[in-house]
This record gives sequence, structure tokens and C-alpha cells, in this order.
Amino acid sequence: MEGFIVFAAFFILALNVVCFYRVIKGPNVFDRALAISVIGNNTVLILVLVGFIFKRIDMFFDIAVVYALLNFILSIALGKYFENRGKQA
Amino acid sequence: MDILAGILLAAGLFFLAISCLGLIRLPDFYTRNHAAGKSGTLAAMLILLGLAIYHRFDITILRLLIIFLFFAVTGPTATHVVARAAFRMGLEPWTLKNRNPQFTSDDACCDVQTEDGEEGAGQC
Repeated sequence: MEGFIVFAAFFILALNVVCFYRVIKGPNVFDRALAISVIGNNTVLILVLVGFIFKRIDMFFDIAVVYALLNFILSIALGKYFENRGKQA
Repeated sequence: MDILAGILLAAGLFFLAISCLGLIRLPDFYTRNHAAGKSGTLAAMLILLGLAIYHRFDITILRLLIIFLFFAVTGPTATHVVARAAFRMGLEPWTLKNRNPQFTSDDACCDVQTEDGEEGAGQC
């Protein structure tokens, strides 16, 4: 089971590298924002898995909660900013 | 118990792979948002549930429950906010006629170079 958790962490890391294609290639800014949001979600899962690997669940869970909160605020701020800009134009 | 946790973890990895595949392969922003939002949230919740079962439900697992509820609330909210902002800025959806979706207003976004051609049918 420990080996499977390590495999899961590396698999999610590989998926992050794949998702980075959309950040570079994305035709407009919303695609980039969406890809960054997906990468942030995957990073929260990697942090939780790393907490299980190193047996320091309490510390890594706090870091994961803070990272999830920052990721959510990033999406909300980008959405509100571009929405108001669309109304103005 | 370990087998159930492993099955949930493997299902979560499968849906995460589906989410990234949709993010790469689908044709426009709204379909990509659809794939990434739903499948990503389900995958995160499956993985967290599998880890909670693996850890045998003691008191530190409450913090995992907090992350679980946080994903359940914020995943759909963030997806909805970004999609609504794109729609109100006038990003056209992908259709059979419009194979190259763009913004309807000219000065909407600096990242997209607007080729002059047929103007889109959608207005915001």
C-alpha cells in the first residue's frame, strides 16, 4: 500500500506536467486560468499523499488546506476581474 | 480494508487522468471546463476518501474531512465563476459552423488576435 501511494503521487505529478501543455498552448486567458486551477487541485492531492508517505499527516494537511484556499481565491479573483472588464467593454 | 482503499485510490487516479485528457483534447473552453470541473472534483473526493479509509478513521482524519468538504464546495464554485466570466466577456462556444471560437467584442482580451472574417452570432 505504501508503494501504491508513492506511485499515486508520481502519477499525479506526471499528470501535472501533461496539464502544463494547456497553460502554454491555451488560446485565451480562461484556458490558462482553468489549467492552473486543475494543477493546483492536483498539487493539493500530492501534498496529502506526501503527508501519508512521510507519516507527518498533521503538518502536511495544514499545508494542503492553505494551498486549496489560495487556489480557490485565485480562481474567484480572476473570474471577478475579467467579468467586470467584460461589462465595461 | 486496504483493498477497498486501494480500489478507491485507483478510481480517483483514473478520473484524474480522464480530467487531464479532457483538458488537453476537447475543442473549446466550455467543454474543457466541463471535463476538468466535474471529473477533477470527483477524483479528488475519491482519493481523499480512500486515504481516510486507509488511515482507519481516528481523530486526525477530521482534517482530511475538512479538505473533502472544501473540495465539494469550492470545485463547482470556481468552475462556475470562471465559466460565467468567459460567457459575459463574450467567448463563443464551439459549434459545427464556428470551428475557431473567439471573443465577440474586439478589445475583449489581449491574448487573442482577432482575425477579421465572419462575425459571431452570439452577443452577450
